[in-house]
Amino acid sequence: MNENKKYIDILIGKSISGNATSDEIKELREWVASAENNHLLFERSKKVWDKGDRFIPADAIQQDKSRLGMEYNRYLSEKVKRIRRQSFIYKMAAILAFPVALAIGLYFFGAPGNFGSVSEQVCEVISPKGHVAKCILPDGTEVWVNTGSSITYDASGFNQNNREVRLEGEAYFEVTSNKKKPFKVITPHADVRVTGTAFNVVAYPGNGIFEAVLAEGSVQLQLKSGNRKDLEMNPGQRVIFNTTNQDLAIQEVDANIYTSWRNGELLFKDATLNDLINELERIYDIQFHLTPENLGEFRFRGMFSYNNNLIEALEKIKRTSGIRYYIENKEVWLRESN
Amino acid sequence: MIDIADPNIFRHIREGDEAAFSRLFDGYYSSLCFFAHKYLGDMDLSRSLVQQVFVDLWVKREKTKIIYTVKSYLYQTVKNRCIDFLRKEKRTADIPESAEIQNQVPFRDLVEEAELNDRINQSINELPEKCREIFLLCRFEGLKYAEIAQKLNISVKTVEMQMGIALKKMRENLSDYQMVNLLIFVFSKKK
Repeated sequence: MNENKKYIDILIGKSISGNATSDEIKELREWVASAENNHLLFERSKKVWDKGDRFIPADAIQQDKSRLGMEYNRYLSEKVKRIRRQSFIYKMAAILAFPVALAIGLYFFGAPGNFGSVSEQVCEVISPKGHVAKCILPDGTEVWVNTGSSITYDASGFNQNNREVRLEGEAYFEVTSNKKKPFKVITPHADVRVTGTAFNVVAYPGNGIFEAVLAEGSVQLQLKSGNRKDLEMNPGQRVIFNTTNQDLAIQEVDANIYTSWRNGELLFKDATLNDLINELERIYDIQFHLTPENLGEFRFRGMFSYNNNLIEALEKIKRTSGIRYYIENKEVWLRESN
Repeated sequence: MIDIADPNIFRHIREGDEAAFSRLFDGYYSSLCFFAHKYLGDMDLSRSLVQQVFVDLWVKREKTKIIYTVKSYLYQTVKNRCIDFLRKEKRTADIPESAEIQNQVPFRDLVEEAELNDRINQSINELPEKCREIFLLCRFEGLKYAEIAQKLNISVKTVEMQMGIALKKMRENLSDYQMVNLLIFVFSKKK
């Protein structure tokens, strides 16, 4: 009896999966027709086969679940309010190649086995040319990353023992206050230590210049060369450290001018055309050509500000200086008007 | 511990109860994937779409309004997202035929089919390892018994046996499920 049942199960399997011979099919048909219960049993088996036409392995479901935690963490650490700079010259890609945030699912669902082994998870926020990225770090600190710049931090250890961020380029920080865990910005030339404050740091690789502007609170600078003592900064101060000749300059400035870029706005005070052009080239990934070449020495009186739009900037230059512009692809020609 | 059938589950989630959210995921995730697949015809795509629905639900848990049940909310949201997705796709590529057909099938039926597929999926996952491996090769790789035997270096007889066992276990699971469903149906009618 039991053997017979097994035999029927085998027949059903063969028939449904298309592995039965014509004799076996015939035999099964007779069995199915011989009792109502047999018929039901066969129908049910067929339903299992037919209706289960998609399959997701159990471990894949678990992986997807831990991905949720990561996605959520990414949402937290990015909360990207991209400030899109609109440019006439080239169409902006709508999607930013945004951080490969290997942030952990731990926050959410506890440690899933396959993630527990990873000791350091580096999270990187990159701002591509033409964009400013804003992100919120796990401790609530807000960071605006200027175009072409990036910050990296260890997503798993951040806010555990300390708060450390590496910077390449320029970023503005609004650090949440936590006296026990000082916040540190690490650059090749100098580190900035703070407990809770707002400041701007510029450290592009290659040019050997480190710059910090303090908007509020207080920070400590640790310069990495020249045997200098740590430097306390006061609000409204700008520190420029030139690593090639060890020159250190401290200026009293209007911090707004150095931090306004994060709103997609640039402010210049008594700047030359060269200053302006350098900034525009960096932001929009374009190139300027000047005729005559000394045109760059033209100085703008007072404030020069513009918002988000290259054409607006060029129009403003034209209005205040009479310099005309001509744009082709990613190149801009500026010419003195006669 | 709160059960996913508990009508209060969403209140717990709204208050930030991760365990409740975790159970909601366990209870509905794979069904919703099968459901999304009926529209999108692509399992990877369906999975990431449903994941996004869960992430968004958690992110916006405080603002989300559930009018009927969490279940109907989830299915409706997944449906809407699928349709949105297809609408955007339509501009660039041919819309999969499946989606056109799905528009004519009642929503309820699609949900039921997805749940049935999920139930079977669960049964497959619960099969003993060897048995499952053989069943998967047969059902989803389309291999013949002889090919499976060769591939796994076992006899065709073993394949036959295991396939018989697999189908038996799965249909028994299914009948339990139908029984439970029937009971729920009877009791809810009485109310």
